[in-house]
This record gives sequence, C-alpha cells and structure tokens, in this order.
Amino acid sequence: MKLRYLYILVFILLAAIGCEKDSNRSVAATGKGGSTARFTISGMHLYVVDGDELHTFSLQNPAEPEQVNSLQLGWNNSIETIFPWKDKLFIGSTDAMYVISISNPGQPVVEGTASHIRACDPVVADDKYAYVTVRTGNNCSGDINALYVYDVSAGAGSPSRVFGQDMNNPHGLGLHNNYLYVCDGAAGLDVFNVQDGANPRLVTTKKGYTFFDCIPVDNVLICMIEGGMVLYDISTPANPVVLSEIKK
Amino acid sequence: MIKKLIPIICVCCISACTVDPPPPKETEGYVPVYAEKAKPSSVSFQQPQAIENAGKIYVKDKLLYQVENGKGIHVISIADPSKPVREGFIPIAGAQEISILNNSLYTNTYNDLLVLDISSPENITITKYIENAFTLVSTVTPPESGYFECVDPAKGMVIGWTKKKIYSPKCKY
Repeated sequence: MKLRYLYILVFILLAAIGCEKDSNRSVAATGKGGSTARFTISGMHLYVVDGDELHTFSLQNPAEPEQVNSLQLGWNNSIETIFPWKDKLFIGSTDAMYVISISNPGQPVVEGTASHIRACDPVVADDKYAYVTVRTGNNCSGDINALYVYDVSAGAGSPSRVFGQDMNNPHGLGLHNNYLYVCDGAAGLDVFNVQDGANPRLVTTKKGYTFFDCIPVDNVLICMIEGGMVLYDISTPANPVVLSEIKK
Repeated sequence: MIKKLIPIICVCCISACTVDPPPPKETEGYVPVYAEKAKPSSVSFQQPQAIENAGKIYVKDKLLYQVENGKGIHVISIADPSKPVREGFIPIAGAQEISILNNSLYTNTYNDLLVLDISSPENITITKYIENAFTLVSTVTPPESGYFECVDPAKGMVIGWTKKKIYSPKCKY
C-alpha cells in the first residue's frame, strides 16, 4: 500500500519536473539592457522610444515584428530612455519621468508623470520606487546633477519625490539585491544601499573609469565605460571587485 | 502636425525675441552626413574588431553585446567573466540600439528597424526590415545644441551628424 503511494508520489514529481522543463522551453527568452536603452522587450512586445514617441511592436512572431501602436509622449526630442518593470515601462525624458502601464501590452497608456527641471534622466525601478538620475551637459540643458527617488507604489497619478542627492554628472544606473549602482561619469561608480529605497546610503565609490551605464546580471556587474566595458564581481554587492576589462 | 510645428515655432520665437551675437567665423559644429539609404541586402558575422566608439550594452545567455556607435555590434563571450573572449562583429550601418528575444536580434540601421536571426552566427539572416519605423536620428537638427551646417536637401538624405570645423554657420538651435 505504502509502496503504491510512493510510486504515485514519484510519478507526480516526475510529471512536475517534466512540466517545468516544458514551460521553460516555451517561455520567451530575452536578455537585459541598460538604463540608457531606447529599445526594450517586455513579454511579447518590443518597445522603442525615439525623440517624441513610444512605438510598440508585437513579437507574436519574433522574427517578424509588426508595429501595433505609437504613443506621442513628448516633443522636440525630449524622450531618451526606457526601462521595463513587470506591467510598467518607465520612460525618461528631458523634463519628466513617465510611468506607462502595459497591462494591455499592445496599447500602452500613461499612468503617471513626475516632472522635473530640464535635464537628462535614465530610470530604474522596482515595485515601490523609481530611481532617476538627472544630469546636465551636452544636449541636456538645465543646471542640476542629482539622484532622485520617486515613490511609484501608488500607481496612477504623479509619483512623489522622496529623496534627492547632488551628484557630479550621473548617467545610467543598475539595481541589484538592495544595492543601486550609479554611473557618475568621470567621478566614478557610486554604490548605494537601498534597503530603504527612500533613503539610499552611499557605501562606496569605485574609481578608475568614466562610467556611463551598468547592467547587473546574477553576480556580475557589466559597466559601459568610455572606450569599452569593465566587469565587476558583485557577489558582495557593497564591494564590487574588478573581474576584467574589455577595451580597444 | 501642430505638435511637430511647436518646436519650430518656439525656435522662431526665441530667435525673434533674443538678439543673438553674429555667428563665429570659425567654430566646432555639427555637419550633416548624407547618404543613399538602402535596405541592407545581407548581414555577416565578421572577425572581432577594435572598440572605438563604445555604445550601449546588452547581455543574454553569457554573451555580451556592445554597440559600436553607427557601425555595428561587438559580440563577446563572458562564460568566464574574468576572461572575456571576443567572438566577432556584426557590421550594421547606423546602429545605436539592441534587444534580443529568443534567436531574434532587434537593432536599428539609422531610422529603420532591422531584425536578425542569430541562431547560427556563421549564417545570420535578415528576417524583417521596417523602413522609417522611428526617428532615432534627427534629419533636421544635430544631437547637441549650437551652431551647425544647414541641411541641404539637394545633397541627399541626412543619416547622421559629425563634428567638424565649420565656417560662418547660418544654422543654430
């Protein structure tokens, strides 16, 4: 009798493992881009921001995308970056951060807008907070360089700013296990503890390169720097250790 | 239409309301790059190339991609992140962006969307090309504000901007 139960149990287990494998195979596999990207994939859609618009392409057949939507967001080339998180897109422009709902993936709608003074601003986000850098220089007008945190947990409306700190010339950022990596141009890579997202604490700054953007993948932080890339081991997230450089 | 006109109207207002100093006789500024734009007929996987104008980065399945701004995509294996191996280079004129789903790589050739099947690197194929899918390269104004050489439509289509010494520029934004 007991043996029969055991057989059933083993059978269920095997079936479960089988299902797992099957579902893994059918799940669409996408990679990871940086916070300064203008292309991003969420679910079975490719989202592209150009200067003024958010373009949506269906990837029902990944090899042959079809454009299904265009949403006018800004004007005069103000849109710069796009970052996906669950059923949302966070879009950085020179004067605001847009929170876009993609609950209906083929038909993005603006859910909230946080305006700020004119500057460039990549965004990363999680369920509760959106982390935004604003910087001046080049075609980014304005006169502020800072890291801002917005509370986006409320969903619709205007996210409120809960934190702000001056920086040198911040570009892209990456979020990984309660740590936020901010590429502060020639001033270095700033590592913030964001266990309390409304109160980031700077724990260390890594120097030696001019940092533009970074992507945390598992325990490796891949940074785009002037002239190429540098890879860090972030198995101790508070203390990135250089693994390798790819330059020239 | 109105929205497209707003920036032009604003520029006109600003230039009408402020008294600009005369343009410098010689300055650094952007010059339009003209070209005959055509759908790329094929894309190949070539020998690794030097990173010169490092662009955006993308990671998928132990492969790291870095855009060579305006020229293509570097492909680097980071199976061992302490010893990256340069696998090759995919030349794509005007490339700035990259994203990947399964075996499809999405990038841009100027303002056109290009989709590549990368399931076998030695045989990359173009599966889709959408002309003028977006406006990543402005054909009207350079990427930074300041003086620039005016666009001359007779010279062809603007596919990009390059910085050069310019003389008595008539255009500014």
